[in-house]
Amino acid sequence: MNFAATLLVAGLSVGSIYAMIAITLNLTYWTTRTVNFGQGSILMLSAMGTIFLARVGLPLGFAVLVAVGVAAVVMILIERIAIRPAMGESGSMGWAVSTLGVGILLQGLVARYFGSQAVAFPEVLMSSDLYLTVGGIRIGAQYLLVFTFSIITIAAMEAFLRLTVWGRAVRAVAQDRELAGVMGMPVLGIILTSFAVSGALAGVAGVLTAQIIGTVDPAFGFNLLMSGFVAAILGGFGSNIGALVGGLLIGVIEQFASGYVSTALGHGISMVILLLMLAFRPQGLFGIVEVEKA
Amino acid sequence: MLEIAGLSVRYGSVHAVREITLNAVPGRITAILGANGAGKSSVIRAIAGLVSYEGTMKLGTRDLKGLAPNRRAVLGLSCVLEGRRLFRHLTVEENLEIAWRFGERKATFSILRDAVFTDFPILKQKRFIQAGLLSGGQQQMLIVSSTTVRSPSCLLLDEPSLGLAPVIVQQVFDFIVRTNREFNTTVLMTEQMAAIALRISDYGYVMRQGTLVAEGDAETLRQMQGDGRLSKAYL
Amino acid sequence: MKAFRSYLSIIFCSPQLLFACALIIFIAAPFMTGAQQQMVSFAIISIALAQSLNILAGMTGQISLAHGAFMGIAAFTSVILVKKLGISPLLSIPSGAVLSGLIAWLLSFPAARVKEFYLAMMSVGFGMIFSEVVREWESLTGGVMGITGVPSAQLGTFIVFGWVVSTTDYMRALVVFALVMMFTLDRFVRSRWGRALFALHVSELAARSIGIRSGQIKRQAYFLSGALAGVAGALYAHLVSYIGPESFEIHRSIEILVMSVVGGLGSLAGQVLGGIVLTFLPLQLEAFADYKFIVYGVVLTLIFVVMPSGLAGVLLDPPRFIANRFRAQANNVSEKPAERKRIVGEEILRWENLRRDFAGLTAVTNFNFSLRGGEVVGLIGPNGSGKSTTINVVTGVYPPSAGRVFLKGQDISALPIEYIASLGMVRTFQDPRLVGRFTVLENVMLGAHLHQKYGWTEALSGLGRVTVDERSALDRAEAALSLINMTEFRDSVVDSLPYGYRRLVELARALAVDPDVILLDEPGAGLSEAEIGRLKQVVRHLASKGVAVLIVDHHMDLLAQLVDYVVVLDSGEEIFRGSMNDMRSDPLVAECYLGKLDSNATKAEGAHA
Repeated sequence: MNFAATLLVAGLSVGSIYAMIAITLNLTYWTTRTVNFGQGSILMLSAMGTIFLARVGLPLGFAVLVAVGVAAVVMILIERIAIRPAMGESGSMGWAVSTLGVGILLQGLVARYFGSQAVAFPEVLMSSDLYLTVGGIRIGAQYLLVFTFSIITIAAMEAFLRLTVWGRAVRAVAQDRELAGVMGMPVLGIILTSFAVSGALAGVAGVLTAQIIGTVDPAFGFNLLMSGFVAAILGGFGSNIGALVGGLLIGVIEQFASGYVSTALGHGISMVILLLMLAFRPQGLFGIVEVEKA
Repeated sequence: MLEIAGLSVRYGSVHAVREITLNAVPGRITAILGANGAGKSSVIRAIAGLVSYEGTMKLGTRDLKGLAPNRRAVLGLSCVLEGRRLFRHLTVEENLEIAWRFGERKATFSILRDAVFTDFPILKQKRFIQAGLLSGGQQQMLIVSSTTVRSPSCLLLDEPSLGLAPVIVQQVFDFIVRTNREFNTTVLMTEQMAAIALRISDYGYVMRQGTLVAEGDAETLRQMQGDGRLSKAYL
Repeated sequence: MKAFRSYLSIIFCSPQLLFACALIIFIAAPFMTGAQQQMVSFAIISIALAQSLNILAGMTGQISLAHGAFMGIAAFTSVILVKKLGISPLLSIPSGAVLSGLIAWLLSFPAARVKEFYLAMMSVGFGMIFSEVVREWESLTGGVMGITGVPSAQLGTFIVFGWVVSTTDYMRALVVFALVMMFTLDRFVRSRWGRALFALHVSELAARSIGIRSGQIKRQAYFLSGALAGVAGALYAHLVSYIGPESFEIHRSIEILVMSVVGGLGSLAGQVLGGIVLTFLPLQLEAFADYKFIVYGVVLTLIFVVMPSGLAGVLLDPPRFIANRFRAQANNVSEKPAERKRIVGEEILRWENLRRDFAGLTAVTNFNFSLRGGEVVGLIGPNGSGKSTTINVVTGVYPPSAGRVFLKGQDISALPIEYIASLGMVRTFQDPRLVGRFTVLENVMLGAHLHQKYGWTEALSGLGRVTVDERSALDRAEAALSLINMTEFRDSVVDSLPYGYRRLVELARALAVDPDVILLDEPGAGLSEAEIGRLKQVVRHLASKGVAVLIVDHHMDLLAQLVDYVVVLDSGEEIFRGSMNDMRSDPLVAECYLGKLDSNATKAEGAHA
C-alpha cells in the first residue's frame, strides 16, 4: 500500500509536469498550428542554464528566472527562424524537421561546450530529503511542491485564457486568425507572445523536472517531450483540460509500470499508448473530430 | 470616405478583380452587386487587408498601403466577412467585448453592449451562451453587432444576407440602416440579392467576372432590375 | 550553371557510369586497405538507408524517424537466425528484411489516420518501443550489452554455402547489391507505382479521383521502405560484427533523415549524394565527430528554407519519371488504344432524390437528374446553392444522406472515389492538383494509371507487362495532350507553366483516364481567351465521342457556348432546367440571384430618401 501510494504521488507529480509540457505544445499549436519538435531542448536549456548561472554566482532564484527568460527568448527565435520560413513548405514536414533541427542543434551545442555527462542540479525549491508523513505514508515533499506548483501554473493559465480579454484574444487567434486581425487584434504580437509563454512554461517545467530527478544532461528533454506529447494526444490536442488529465494519467501509468513491472515498461508504455491512441482515437479523450469537407 | 482606384486582386494567375474604381461616399450606403464569382468578396478582402492587391486605397485621407488588417481596423474600418464568421467558443457577451476592446472604444462597453441588446433582445437572452450554439440568424446578428460595438467610421459587409431567412435579413438590414443613420457610418456592402440591397443602398456598382459593368444610384439600378437589364449584367 | 548541371547529370546519373564505377571498385577491391573497404561498404549501406527513407519521405510525403528501428529489426533478426539457429545469411538477411517490411506495413495503418506531424511523433514513439524491447529481451538480443561476435567477414565467420567470405568479397557483394538496388529503384520510380506515390503526396483526393488506390499504395510503400531499411540493417550488422540497442536508436534515424534531406528528397541520385557525403565527411574530418550533431541540427533547421531540394536540386538536373526506352516510341503513336464504343444519347449518369445534410444544414435536397452520353450540361446557382456538394456526393467524396446515384446502371452511392473512377467517372478540381516536379507528360500519364495492369513486383523487376502497359499509357497520354493542343509542352515541368496551362494539363490527365462521364469544377476560372478556346474544343470533342459532360461554373458566357442546357440550383433545390437563353430571362432564376423586386418598395425605416 505504501509502495502504491509512493508511486501515485510520484506519478501525479511527474504527470503534472507532463501536463505543463503538453500545454506548452498546445500554445503554439493554437496560434500557428505547429508544434516545436525541439521543445525538449528548451526544457534542457533552462535547467542547464540555471546550473550554469548558479555556478557563475547568481543567487539560485534569480538564476531560474533568467534561465526561464532565456527559454522564452529562444522560443521567439524559433518562431522566426524555424517556423515562419518553413510554413507552407511541403505540408508540415518543413517546420517539423526545422524545429527538430533546432532541438538537435541546441543539444549538440550544450553537449559540445558543457559535456554530455549528467550534472547535478542544485535544489531550488527544497531539499530532496524532506518528507511529509500523511496517514502513515512518507511522501517526498518535493513531489508535493512540484505538483502544487504545476497545478497552480496550469490553473493560472486557464484562468488567463478564459477570464481575461487578452486570454480570449489568444483563443480568438487560435480559432480564426483572419477574423482576429480584422477585429483589430495584433495577431503577430499574439503569436510571438504565445511562443514566449510556451518557452517560459517549458523552462519552468524543465527546472521542476530537474529538481525531482536531481541531475541534468543534454538529452534530458527529449524523453520528457515525448511523454508530454503522448499526454497531449491522450487528452486531445489543443485542449488544456485534456493536457491535464492526459498528463496525470501518463505520469501515474508510467510510475506504476516502472514500479510493478520494470523500468523498461515504464519507458515504453507511454509510447504504446501513443500508438494505440493514434490508431484508434487520434482526437484523444477531449478532442473534437475534425470533419473534412473536400 | 473610402476611395479605391485601379484595384486588382490576383490569386496566383487568377485575375479575380481587374482594375476597378469605386467610392464609398461618406455617410452613405454603397452596394456592390453581382453573381458569385464576380469578385465581390475579393474586393472586400482587399480592403480589409487580407489579400495583397494592386491599386490605391484611401480611407478618409489615410492611404491604406501596406497596413495589416488590425492596423486598418484601428483606423475605423470594421468588416463582416463572408461565411458567418465569429468566435464560436466565446460567449455572445465575450464576442462583443473582444470586438469592443480592440476597437476604438468611443464609449464604455456597457453602453454599447446595452444598445446592441436593445436592438437584438434575443442576444441579451443568450448573452452567456457560446456563439457556436446560436442559430444562423442569431449568429449573423451577433456578427453585425460586433462591428457596430466598435463604433466604426466605415463598415464593410460581405454578402450579409447569405443563408438567412427573410425575416432575419430584414432585421439585420434594418440594423445596418439604423447604424448608418445614427452614427453616420459609411457602409460598403456586397450583395448578390440586388433587390434587398437596393432597398437600403444609396448607390450601387455591378461587377461581373472581375470588372465593373454598371453603376448608378439606387433608383437607376432598380429600374435596371425591373426591365431585365440587371440580370443580363449578372448572367 | 545550367550547362554545368546538365554535364554533371550526364556523368553522374548515367547507368553506364554507375556500372563503370562498380566495375572499378570490384577490380580494385583486393588492392584496397581494410579501412578503405570499410568506407565503401559503409557508404553503400548509407545510400541504401537514404533510399529507403526517400521512398516514404521523399516520394510519399510520410515523414519517418523510425528507420533506425527498421534497420534494427532486420539486423537482430538476421544475426539471431545465423548465430543461434545456424541459418544461412542468404536466408536470414531477406527474412530480416521481410520482417522489417511487415512491421512497417503494420505501422501504415495508424499512419493513414493521422495528421502529418503526428507521423513524426508516431515514428519516434515506435523507435523508442523497439529500443526498450531490445534492451529488455536479453535472452534474444543480449539486452543492453548487445550481441558481439556477429558472423561477419571481418571475423571470418560469415559463411555462405560453406565458403568463408572475406572482407573483399563482402564489399564486392555490397557493390553488386548497390547496383541491383539502384537499377531496381530507378525502374520503380519510373513506373506507375512510383509516379502514383508522388501524386499521393500532392493530393490524396486528386489521386483517388483518377483511380489511384491511395490506402493500398501507401501501405505497400511502407513495406518497401521498411524492407529496404531492413536489408541495409542486416548488411550493416554483418559488417560491423557487433550490434546493440544504441546502434538503432533515434540518433540513427536522425542521421538517415539528414542524409536523405541533404541529398534531396524525391531524387534517387540525391540519396546517393547524401549517403556518400555523410559517410565520407565524418571519416575525413576528425573534428566532425565533435560537431556532428551541431552540424546536423543546423542542416535540418535551414534545409527547407535554403535548399529544399538538397544537393541534387542544386547540382543535378531534376529526375524524370518515365523510362527512356519507352519514350523512344512516344513519337510514333503506332498502336492506338482501342476506342471505346459509346452510344450518344444513352443514359450514363443518374441520381434520384439526392440529398446531403451537414450538421444541421441541408446542402442539397430533392435533386433528380439524368445525364446522357454526348450531352454537355451546366450546373449553376448562387453561393451555397449546393453545386459543389452535388459534385462531391456524386463522385464519392462523401455519401448521400438520402437518394441514390447510378453510373451506367450501377448503384455507386456509397462507393469509394477511386472505385467510381475505375467505373468511368472522373472529375477535375477548382485548383489543379498536379505533381509540380513532373513534366506535363508525366502528369498526364497518371491518368492512364487505371488502365495499366502491372503490379509492384513487375515494376521493380521490369518484367512482365511493364513494357506493354507503359507504351500504351504513353500513347494515351500523347493522345490526351494533342487534344488540348499542348503536345509541344510535353516535356515542360508543370511548375514552370502558367496557371491556365496547368488547368489544361489537369484536364488532359482526366482525359487520359478515358472516362464515360466527366465533371468539370469551374474549368474556366483563370483561363485566358486562348486557353478557353482549347477548353471549348475539348468539351465539344468529348461530346462528339459520346462522353457525358457536366460543368459547374459561374462563367455564363463560357457556359452559353458549351452547354446543351443548364440546371439552376438554389438553396439545394433545382429551380430551373432549360437552355441558357431561357435561363437568363426566367423570372425565378432572376429572383434567386437578384431577389424579389417589390414594385412598391419602400426603404427600411430611417434610410435616406
